[in-house]
Amino acid sequence: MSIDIQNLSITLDDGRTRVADVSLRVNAGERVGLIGASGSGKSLITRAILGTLPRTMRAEGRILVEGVDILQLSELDRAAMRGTYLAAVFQNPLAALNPVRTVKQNVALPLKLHYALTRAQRRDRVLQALERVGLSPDLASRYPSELSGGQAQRVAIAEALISSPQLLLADEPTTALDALAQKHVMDLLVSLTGEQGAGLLLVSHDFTVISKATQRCYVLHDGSVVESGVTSELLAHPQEDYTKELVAAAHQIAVKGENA
Amino acid sequence: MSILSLNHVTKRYRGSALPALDDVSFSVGDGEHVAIVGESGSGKTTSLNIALGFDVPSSGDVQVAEPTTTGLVFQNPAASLDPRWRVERIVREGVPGVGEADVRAALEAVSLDYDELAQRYISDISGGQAQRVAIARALVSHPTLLVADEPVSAVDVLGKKHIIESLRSVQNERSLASLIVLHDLGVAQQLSERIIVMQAGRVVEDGATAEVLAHPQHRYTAQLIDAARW
Amino acid sequence: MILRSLIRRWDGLLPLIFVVLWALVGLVSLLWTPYALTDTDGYSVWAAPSAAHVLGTDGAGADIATWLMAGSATEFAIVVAVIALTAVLGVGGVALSVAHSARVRSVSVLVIDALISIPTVVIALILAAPAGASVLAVILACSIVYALNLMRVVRPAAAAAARSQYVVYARYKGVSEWRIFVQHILPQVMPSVIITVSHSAATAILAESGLTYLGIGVPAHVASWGQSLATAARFVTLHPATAIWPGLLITVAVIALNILGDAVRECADPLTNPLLRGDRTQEVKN
Repeated sequence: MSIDIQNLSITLDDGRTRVADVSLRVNAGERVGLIGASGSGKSLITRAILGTLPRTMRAEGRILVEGVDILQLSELDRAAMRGTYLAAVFQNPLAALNPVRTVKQNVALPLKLHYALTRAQRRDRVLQALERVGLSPDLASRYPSELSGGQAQRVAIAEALISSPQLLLADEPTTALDALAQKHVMDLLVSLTGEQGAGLLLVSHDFTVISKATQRCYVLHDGSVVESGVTSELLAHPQEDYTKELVAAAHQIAVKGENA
Repeated sequence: MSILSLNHVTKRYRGSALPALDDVSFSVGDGEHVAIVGESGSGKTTSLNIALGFDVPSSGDVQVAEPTTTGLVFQNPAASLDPRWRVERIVREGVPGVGEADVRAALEAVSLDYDELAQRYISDISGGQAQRVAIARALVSHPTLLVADEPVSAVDVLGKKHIIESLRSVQNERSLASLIVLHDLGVAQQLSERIIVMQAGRVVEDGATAEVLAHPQHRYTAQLIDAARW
Repeated sequence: MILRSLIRRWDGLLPLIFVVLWALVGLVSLLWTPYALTDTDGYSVWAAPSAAHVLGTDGAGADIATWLMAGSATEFAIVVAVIALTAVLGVGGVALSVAHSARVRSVSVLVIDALISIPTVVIALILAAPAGASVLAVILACSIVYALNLMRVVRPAAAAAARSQYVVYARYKGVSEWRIFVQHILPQVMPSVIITVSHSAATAILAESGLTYLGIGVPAHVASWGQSLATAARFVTLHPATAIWPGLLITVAVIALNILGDAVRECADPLTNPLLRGDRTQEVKN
């Protein structure tokens, strides 16, 4: 499944534009990055795709999924898309997971909402999903608050991928995590989307993250795409000043030196 | 001569089997720039709290040379700066005899413009600017030791860059020592000449930054380096 | 600056106009009313509005407009006193309940929780018992109950502010606990204090009416809107028109105070009022 965003603009009620004329494409099974500083509008784009924009904002343009403009769909149809074709992972897993439900209840939620499975089938799928994200079945009965940040984010990924979505939106999935947990979560996102043949739209402010996980990327600045291309080329030869600045900043916070 | 040292500090919290700190010793020399690196739960923030006197060790002791003035920077500027105060008032707080010129100089030290920012509220400036305001606030009392807890992890990459540059210029231009807690070795490489790596409440590595990065002795350090590589 | 923002919005301007008119009428009533309070016209009881009696007369033949005008003064005094006392007592209680000293904190929370369980009417009865019904008893009863309510509503936000890092920092810098409360904690909870106090003021009008109706509020010789309503209410099935005027005034006053509280909260907070932040872009727009 591919997603094709054409001339997407997002405006506030008072007429201010937050995202201006953004066109962006994720082909089936492709991993694409969307990079920009905070306030650049990158999260609004993911929310427009999911259909969860704040009520004070309006999206114009087209978001085509398999040729269907999902901006024109009813609220019910869009809800059906979330958790089946589309899934999302957010920055703060503890805010995304229901704190009064156990890990297995959280992970099972999309199955419960969108699929008619028996209790036993659901349990098997949940345990499989936890295994795939590298979590031991012992954790299944814990509550989110009893997990580390990295573990909680894996639970969120398990929940996102349990319904075998065709496109995974990941909005700053590693920003709240430690260096090692960041690496594990990135590796997981890359390998799991690959296994399932799902596309990935990875939203981040950090080229270090984008460079490790994506094949192509778009650079967003003040609501507009200023540059796009193959990630490795864009990193090696950024054209726009803004992109150069982001690349330089990412280089600065990476470990330099040859050995180790 | 060291201005701060922890000697065989162990910290146990009631109700937890493992100690949060297990026989931790390290020191910060006069004018030395030290980073403590580790994951959350490694004990790096507990060490900092004990060094600052916010928490008391279960055993072992902390020594601070006289006279030492400490400047303090927290992780998240949105939480550590009062949202209903203007920048100027924030920077001045609690330091008697500070005038406009001192605030101006402190802001300048972190490349912020007094005329542009002094009368603003935190919600009206970027996260990177806000964190530099927090650094200016720490500098205004002319500290001999600057202590910072994860000063770059709550802001985006451009903010990080500006904060790192500001901290570096402060380290170069002011005669102070620094103790900075980080989870990212890439940032530690920029901000320290010595690195202390902590894991599960213990110091697993302590050495010159270049040496630790080039020849990590501990497997955990090597993993951290790998995670922070470009 | 706050006032400027306030009169620029309908939900600030309209209730403000009402409150100013209310105060003016109250002031005028101290100097002049159409009749004296004690003037009764035995020949025209329950009279319909006329040139002589603009709002008619009540069952004793007293002029309703006169009683309502004089009532405005009493009502305004009650509202102002309740606002001041509720704010002072309430904020004082909040300060104790989030004190740095754990002992002060736990004792004050215990006392507040115990007192909260006593109903307004019981407190009013206790206060009215020694000296009989009086305006002061009404003010005290309302203020005590609303101050306790304020403590309960505001305490969680104040406790969160008291645990914040900017408070940790200020304490680290040697700023006194008193200053920390006034300069850091109080401004964070001011919006909820304003809302709670304005709500208390509105509720005080209702409580005054209720207590007066029960005979433990405003004494019979003192005019108040609650007094007028209580007088009319006894015969409301026979002469409903006389209950309308005090009822209407009370309703409008309650609504106005609530709306005004909301508007003041937004206008007085630098986080929600760009004008206070010296935001030039917003100033150009206005």
